[in-house]
Amino acid sequence: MNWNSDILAAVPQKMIQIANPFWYIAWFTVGVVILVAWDRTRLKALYAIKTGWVGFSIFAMLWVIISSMGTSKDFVQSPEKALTQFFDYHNPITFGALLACAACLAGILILAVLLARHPQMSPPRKYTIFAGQTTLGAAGLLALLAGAHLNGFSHWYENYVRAWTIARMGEYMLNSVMISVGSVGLIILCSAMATYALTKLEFPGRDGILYLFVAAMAIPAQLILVPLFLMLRHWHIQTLDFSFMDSRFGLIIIYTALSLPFTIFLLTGFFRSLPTELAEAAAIDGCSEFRTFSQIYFPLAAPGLTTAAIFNFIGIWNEYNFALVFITNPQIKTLPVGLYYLVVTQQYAAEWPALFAGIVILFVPTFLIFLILQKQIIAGLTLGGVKG
Amino acid sequence: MIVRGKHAKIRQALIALAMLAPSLLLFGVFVGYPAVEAFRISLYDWTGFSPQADWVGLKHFRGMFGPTVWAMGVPFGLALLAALVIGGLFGRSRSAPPDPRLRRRLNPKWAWAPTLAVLSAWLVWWLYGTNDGDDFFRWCVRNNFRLMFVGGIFQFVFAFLFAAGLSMPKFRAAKFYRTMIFFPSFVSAVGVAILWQRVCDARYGLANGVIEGAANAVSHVISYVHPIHLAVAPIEWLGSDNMFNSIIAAGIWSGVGSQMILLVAAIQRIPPTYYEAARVDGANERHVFSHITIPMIREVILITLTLWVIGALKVFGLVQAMAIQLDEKTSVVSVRQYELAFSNRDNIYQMGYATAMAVVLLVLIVVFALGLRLLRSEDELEF
Repeated sequence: MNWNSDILAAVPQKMIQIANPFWYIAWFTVGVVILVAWDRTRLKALYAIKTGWVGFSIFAMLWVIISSMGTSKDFVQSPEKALTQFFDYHNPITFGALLACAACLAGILILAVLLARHPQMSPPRKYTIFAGQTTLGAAGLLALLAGAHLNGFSHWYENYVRAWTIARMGEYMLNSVMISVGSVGLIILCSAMATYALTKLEFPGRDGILYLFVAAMAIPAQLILVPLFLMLRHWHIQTLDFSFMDSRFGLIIIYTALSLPFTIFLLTGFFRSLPTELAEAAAIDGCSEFRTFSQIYFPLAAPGLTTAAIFNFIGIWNEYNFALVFITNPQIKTLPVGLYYLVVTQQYAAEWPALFAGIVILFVPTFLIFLILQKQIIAGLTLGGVKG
Repeated sequence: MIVRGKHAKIRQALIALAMLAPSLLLFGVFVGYPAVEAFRISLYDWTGFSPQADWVGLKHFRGMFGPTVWAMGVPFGLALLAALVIGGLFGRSRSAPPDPRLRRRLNPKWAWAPTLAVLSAWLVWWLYGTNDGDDFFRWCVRNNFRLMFVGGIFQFVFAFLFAAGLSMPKFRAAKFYRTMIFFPSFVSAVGVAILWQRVCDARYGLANGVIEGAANAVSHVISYVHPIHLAVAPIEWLGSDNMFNSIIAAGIWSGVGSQMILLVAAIQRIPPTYYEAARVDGANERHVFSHITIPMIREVILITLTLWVIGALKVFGLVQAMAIQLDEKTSVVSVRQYELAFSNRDNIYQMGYATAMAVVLLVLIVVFALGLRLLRSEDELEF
């Protein structure tokens, strides 16, 4: 009996039959349920699930980042080669850089232990430690990159340079920034005024307009995509040479109009929680309604406006459907559309590392914004979801 | 603001109008008017570029569902009528209860339940029981539903487990886990789609790489005892059979975070006194879970589910960017609509038919959102 060929014949067949993402997830779930039932404190099992989930996410991200620093030939033949440019022990420069990096890592860990030992530490000292950790991390990363660079390796940034220039990711990012910032400014201005009028002023038909905006949140964007396209195709202002198609400003206007219902709905709660007495006092002192809005209520509603701004910014930064339809000119494409066309046009058919560099360029700004504003994002999400 | 005097009232109304004007104008021109126009366009045959749009009436809707479904409209319509009547009787019984004892049992919101039941029976029969009409479109709706149910169940289970862990006071490094699980919800759907497309690639992808590595490790260990090498055939994660499952997996990965955050916030809002009181009364963990935690976060669970259902029906970027080949097994309604209206594969733009699909999508979204609203509890808990 030939064990080898038997197993070779049997195993792949089995693997193919059950190799299906659905079944993998199903097994994972069954395992999780067993773990949860088995563990009385429920804590170990939950750690296991979460570590598995987060571990996968980190592993995938690292795969993308590390591969994006190598050449495409290495990626196909031996993917681990992307790392060896940083871990060349025979070269004194790279070895020194590795030692420096290890020292930085040790410093970060020591600071983390300090922080964990003293949970009641005063905020200034805590922030000093955070700053120290950040500095050490940056220094370690820089040492690693500098070591590779001084050693003559330039693979690690070549893909990024190519994605940024040849694949035009730089331009796309600039467009995304302009469109997102412009729309968010316009949205905040319009919706703050509208919400103030809808909550603090009295006029006939107020509730009707509010209901109109709330009901409009149910309209899927797909419903208005085609009619809007057919309508805006013909709108062309000759004297200004302005058209809604292929124009950043046109997209800003469309995004603003689309985001208004949700933003007004979100802000209504904030404005309602502000006391009306302020407006009355201002009116007695002879303050006009516009000044009451701009100098009293607008600053008071700042937390709500910040939340709305963050949500709209991220939504518009990631928006894909309308940008895909209304923009064909490569000079004004946004990041998601640009990345999609990078895949479609097969500019990098066999060049995964360059595509990975594009993915990293797409992910990094979102990740930074997310890390910095996480508290506000969570507060806004809970406010919009739990109370809405 | 309280105003006295007729002139002051008119003045305030004018000021309010001035402050509302930009929003109303933008909304009316770029959302309101197109939304109404969509219903009109769905009644025309129009390539979008020919000057003439031909009035075809309900042809698109007829062709979409096929003659059998419309013929069955007679019995289903009768059932619908009966459901409406029954529901109406149900609903009326509260305003004028014949018997005071019935007041608690009959809730007017359930008046809509039979109607929704008949509508969903019709829908299910069309999706899985018939064979005519636009086959491609039916596959698209099926895929939407598959994403909604399969993805929704797994996503909710994981979101709930993660939320349970994060809201435990003993859980260490909660912030790190929260960030890492929540982050994928905020990345562009296109980014997620392309990342997963590459992870699932059969030749160079991460998933097959990990499986191959595991097989190599196992055979290395076994080879100390017996000379053997386990060869694993690369799995076609992006083959036409597995493609949509991979898309669902990507959707789960990116969607768990926001659901988890909502659930965590809801769990943490429950006052600890409730738990303490229950413990004093001798309730065990299971009692606390089923009698305090679940009822207290019931509303949020329903909001979470509603958001997911609407999101799964509207999904576009994830599918459009991730599918290698947009055939009937991998397409969804909004992607099909985009293909018909803007992507000239056959050099024919079918604006009218694409808009008719969007109208059906709107109906589906409204029906599902209203259906989930029925499950909301009557008595609002204030705490």
